[in-house]
Amino acid sequence: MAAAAAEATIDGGGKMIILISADGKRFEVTEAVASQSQLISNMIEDDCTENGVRLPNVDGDILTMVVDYCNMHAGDAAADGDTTKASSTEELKKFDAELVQALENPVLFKLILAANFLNIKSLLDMTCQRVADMMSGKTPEQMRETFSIENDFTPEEEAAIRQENAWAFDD
Amino acid sequence: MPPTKKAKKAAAAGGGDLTGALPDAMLHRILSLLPAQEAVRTCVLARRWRHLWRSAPGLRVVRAAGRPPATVEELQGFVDHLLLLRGGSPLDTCELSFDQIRRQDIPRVNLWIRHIVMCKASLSRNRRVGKKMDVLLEGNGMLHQGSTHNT
Repeated sequence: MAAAAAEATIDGGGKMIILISADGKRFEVTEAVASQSQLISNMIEDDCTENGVRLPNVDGDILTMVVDYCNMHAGDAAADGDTTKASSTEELKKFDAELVQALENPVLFKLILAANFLNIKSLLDMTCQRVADMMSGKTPEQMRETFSIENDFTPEEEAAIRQENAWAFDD
Repeated sequence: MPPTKKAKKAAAAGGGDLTGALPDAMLHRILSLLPAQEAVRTCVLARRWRHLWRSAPGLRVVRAAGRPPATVEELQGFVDHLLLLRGGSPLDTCELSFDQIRRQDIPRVNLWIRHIVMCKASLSRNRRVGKKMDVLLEGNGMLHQGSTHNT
């Protein structure tokens, strides 16, 4: 699917760029797809993508997802005129929803880090929103459990902090 | 047995605290998306979280999931605490949504908004002058959406 989407944008994207993950996997994408990452967009502008772009802190499996996402969203950034290129808004929403829903927590957090490093705002917004949705409606105990947060307060300390912030706890 | 340094290291290596790998800026981003009550309650999660909510760049004073309608009268104590304790921490976005704003609530709500706008001002001083901030105020079924610019 990723390859097909890349092909579809080929004439709009111009040059191809090679992305290289931490574990050495290579991804060939168009400039239009890659430049959704502000980091890579800046590198393209500075003409330093010639020998491929090494991403030493993004693993291949995470970069696969990022590339899929960027392929899917390349239509957003492309010129509005050509509707054959741009995926429909509804299709995109569905793709995005399915992408974040399917993620296991550890992968979700890795994807946040990758979106932050690559500076892809829409992906960062979406993944952070997913974490917020998972926190919402939960008690602190449930939040700790969901994200394996280790409680490093003593019971006395925790009670004192709750007391201090009672204005946010009692409804 | 209390968690040892070894256990913490193991947690950092994977399988442990998922939020541990995220920089504060990312956690701030996430906190900004939560209803303010829930964001503040993260203060008891762990030491790292204790004061994080105070510097989140977004505030959402809205009816939290599954909560009864929120009027200015009911939320007054909460919002006063919230704004006083977070002090002048920079704000990018703020959403205030009330199910009821009575006539006598208006001066209080105006005071909150003035404070919020001042938090935006400190952001502009530190970073980029003229940065826009959206303040969304909703109440009595009316929607006021405004933006402020520094001049």
